[in-house]
Amino acid sequence: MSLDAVRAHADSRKLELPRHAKLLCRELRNMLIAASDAGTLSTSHNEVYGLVRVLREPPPVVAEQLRARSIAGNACCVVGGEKNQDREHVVAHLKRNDDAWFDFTITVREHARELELLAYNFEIRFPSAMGTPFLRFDYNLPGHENELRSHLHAGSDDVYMPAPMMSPAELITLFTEHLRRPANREKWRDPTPFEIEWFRTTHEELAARGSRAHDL
Amino acid sequence: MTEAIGVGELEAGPFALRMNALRGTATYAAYLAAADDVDLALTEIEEELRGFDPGAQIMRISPPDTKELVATLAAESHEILLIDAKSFSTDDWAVLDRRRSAIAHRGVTVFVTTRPSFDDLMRTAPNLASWLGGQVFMFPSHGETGVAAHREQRLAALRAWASRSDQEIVEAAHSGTLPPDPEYAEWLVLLGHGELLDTRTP
Repeated sequence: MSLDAVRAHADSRKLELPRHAKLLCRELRNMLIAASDAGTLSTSHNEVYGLVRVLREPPPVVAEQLRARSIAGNACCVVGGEKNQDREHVVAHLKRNDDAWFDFTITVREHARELELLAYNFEIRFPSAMGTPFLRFDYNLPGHENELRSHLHAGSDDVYMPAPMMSPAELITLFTEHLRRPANREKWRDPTPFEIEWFRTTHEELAARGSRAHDL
Repeated sequence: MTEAIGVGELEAGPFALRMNALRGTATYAAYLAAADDVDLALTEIEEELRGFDPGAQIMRISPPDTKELVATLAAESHEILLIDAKSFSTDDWAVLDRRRSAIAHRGVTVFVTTRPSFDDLMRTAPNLASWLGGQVFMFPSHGETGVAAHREQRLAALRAWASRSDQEIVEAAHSGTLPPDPEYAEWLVLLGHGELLDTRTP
C-alpha cells in the first residue's frame, strides 16, 4: 500500500500568496500585530517588527552567479524569529499568551507576477503538560517521488506524518489562534497511566544516555 | 538657530503603525530620507498604512511649493496626508509657518523630506517645528550592514546544526544530493545561490 494518494492530496492545494516577498512579510507581520493587539500573542509590536523580515540573497560576487540568478529569478526568505535549531528559549522568538513560542522560515522565489513557495518550516514549542513538546510543519524542497514534501513532526524530529500544504498566513492563524486547550475544557485532560509511564521511562533512558535532559 | 540633530531611525512599517494609531488626532510628523529615497519612503508608508486598513482615507501629494499645499488642504481633508516636501525651500517653510492655521486640521499630516530641507524647517519655521514635537524620524538607509550580520548569524546556526560547510552545501546542490529539508533552501539563499534551488531536483 503506497501513500501516493495521500501525498498527492497534501501537496495539491492551490495557495493564494501575495505577489512579492515584501507583501508576504507585511501580511504576516500585520497578522502578528493584530494577534498582539488581541492578546493572543505577548510579543510587542516593536518586537514583531524586529523579528519578522525579508532576507534577500546577498549581491552576486561572480558573473556566473549573476547570470544564473537572472535566469532563475530572485529567491529570498521571509523569517520570523532567529534560527533556533537547538530550541533554546533564549534565542529570539515569537511568544503566545500561554507561553507557547514559535519561529518560522519561508523560502520563496519572486517571479514577475507571482510568488512561488519553495519551502517552509514553522515550529511551535509548548510549555510542559500540553501534550507534546513541539509541532513542526515542514514543506520541503521538491525531491524524490516517495517523499512527503508537506509533513508534520509531532514532537519528534525523526517521525513525521502527512500534512496539508498550508499558506504562511494559514499557519500563522493556526499558531496564534489554534493549537490551544479547547475552549470547552477548563483544564487539560489528565494523562493516562500509559503516558505517565512513557514519560518516566523516556526520562530514565535519556538520563542513561547522558542526554542533556538529565541535567534539566 | 535650531539644528535637527539626533533624529532616530525608524523603518517605514513601525512609523506607519505609529501614524495609524494617531488617526483621528491632529498630528504633525516629519519623516526624513535621502533625496533618492523620498519616493520609496512615501510608497512604503502608504502601503503599510493601507495594510492596516485598506479603507483608510490617505492622500499623497507632491506640491511644488507651500502655496499650492495650502490651497490643496483648504479644498479637501483626509485622515492621513502624506506630503512630498523634498523640494520645500527655506522660503516655503517660512510661508507655511506663517500660514500654519490654514493647514491645521484633525488628521495626521506627514512631511516626507530630506535632511537639509528639514534643517531649513527647523531654522525658519519654529511654530511648525513645535507642532512636530517628537514625531520626527529617519527612514533607514538600506545598506547591507545589519542584514549581512543577521545573514551570517543564521548561516552559523545552520552550519552548527548540520555540521557541514557552505562549500559542501553548494557542491551537494550542484550534484543533486542536497537533502530536501527547508533548512537547506534557506542555506542556499543566504549564500546567494538561490539559482541552485531549481537544480537539486533529480
